[in-house]
Amino acid sequence: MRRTEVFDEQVKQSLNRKAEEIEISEVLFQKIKAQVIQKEEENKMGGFFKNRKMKKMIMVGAASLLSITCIAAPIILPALNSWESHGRTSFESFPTLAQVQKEVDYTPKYIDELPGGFVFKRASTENIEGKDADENTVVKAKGISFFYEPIEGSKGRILSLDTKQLAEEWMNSGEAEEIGLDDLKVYYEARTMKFVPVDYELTEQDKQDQEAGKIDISYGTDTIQVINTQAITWYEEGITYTLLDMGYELDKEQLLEMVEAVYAVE
Amino acid sequence: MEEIELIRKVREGDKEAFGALFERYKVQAIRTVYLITGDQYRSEDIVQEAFVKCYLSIHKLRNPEQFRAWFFRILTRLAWRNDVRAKRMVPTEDIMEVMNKKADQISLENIYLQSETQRLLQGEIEKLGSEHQMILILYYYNELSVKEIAKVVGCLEGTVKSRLHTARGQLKKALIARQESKVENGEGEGYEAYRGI
Repeated sequence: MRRTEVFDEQVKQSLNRKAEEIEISEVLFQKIKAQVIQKEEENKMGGFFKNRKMKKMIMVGAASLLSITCIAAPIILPALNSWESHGRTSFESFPTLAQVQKEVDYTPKYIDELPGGFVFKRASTENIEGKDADENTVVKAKGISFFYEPIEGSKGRILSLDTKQLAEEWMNSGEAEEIGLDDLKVYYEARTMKFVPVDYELTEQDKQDQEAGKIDISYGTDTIQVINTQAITWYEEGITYTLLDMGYELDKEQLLEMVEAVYAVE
Repeated sequence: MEEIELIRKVREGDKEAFGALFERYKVQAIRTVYLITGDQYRSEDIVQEAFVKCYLSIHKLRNPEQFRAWFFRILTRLAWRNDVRAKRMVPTEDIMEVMNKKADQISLENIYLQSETQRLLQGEIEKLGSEHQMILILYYYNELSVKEIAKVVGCLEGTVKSRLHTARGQLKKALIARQESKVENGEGEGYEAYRGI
């Protein structure tokens, strides 16, 4: 063997030995397939909020309330290829205006109790980025969400007031119902979310329901969960607000009362 | 089934065909990325992203016969971008997990069986600049031709040859330096063979 060939062989063997250190996860293809299906569904729906980082959090079983909120919030923003959200700080007690201002550089309207006996439980801040198809960041924003519970506890349900400092141009009402509340225009939408494990195979019923717009499928949870969600979104002075009900199944009128209570804050 | 036929089916949305394509490329894909990043966790994420991107944009591939180069282009670009961002560092809280994982992977048997030359080579390959290292990996591990590498990396064939030559030169220099050091210490292994290559 020539000297060049000896050297080449040594380099090849060295790389092969190093490469053999890594093992391939058995669920890798399932994760790929789940992500492909998710993206196909998102592309079909057009304006659905896409959040890869948050989906990854759910896939390792660390579904924070904020991540579920982001995935379920039906009225957000299209025009870009994807939105990423990164959770930051959280408040376990009702934050002051100064504290909120310090964390997110703006002060939304928010209250410590929503009508119907829902009291403040905690708040979380986030940074979000909207990216185009080439992964370039097109818009960045900060947000803070306030979570509320009845006295008896949430029992796994969510009622939140999500705020993001995003211009109105990024808001897409999609198929939401437009409702006038005095001088405020709000958008109401109801959806059923089905959370499934990564290796879940869609049934014929699932496919029919998806086609009919009755359910949204989201991959990554350990068990199958079906949750009815409602959201009311509005825009005011540079801030997009979303009141989100996941699982409480409150009346629309009750949700609108909550919106009015927040809107009335001076 | 022929690869071209598989690609045609994947274009039609056939997920079984996509699975078959995955099976053909998964080992090389994950090992290539691992050679670039040196990190198992990130490697899997990158490979996942590459296959997803591959499926969603396979309709853009004009010539199915070029699939291999096209796919490795997606893969190496993601690996490159990720590696530059991560700079091979992990968050402090993860470092013990990573170190323990590396210790498990490199068994004692592996260490004893591996010749000193290869250990040295591995170390020197990791010291190469990212561009040179990537070309070395694509040439020696993936056994792509210079022409294919040029397509994957997006540069001229002359540039590929030049970088390959530089990378090989650096590795040989290291081997020779090691030999000279061993001779001074009264030891010896045939690194003389690498002079003048």
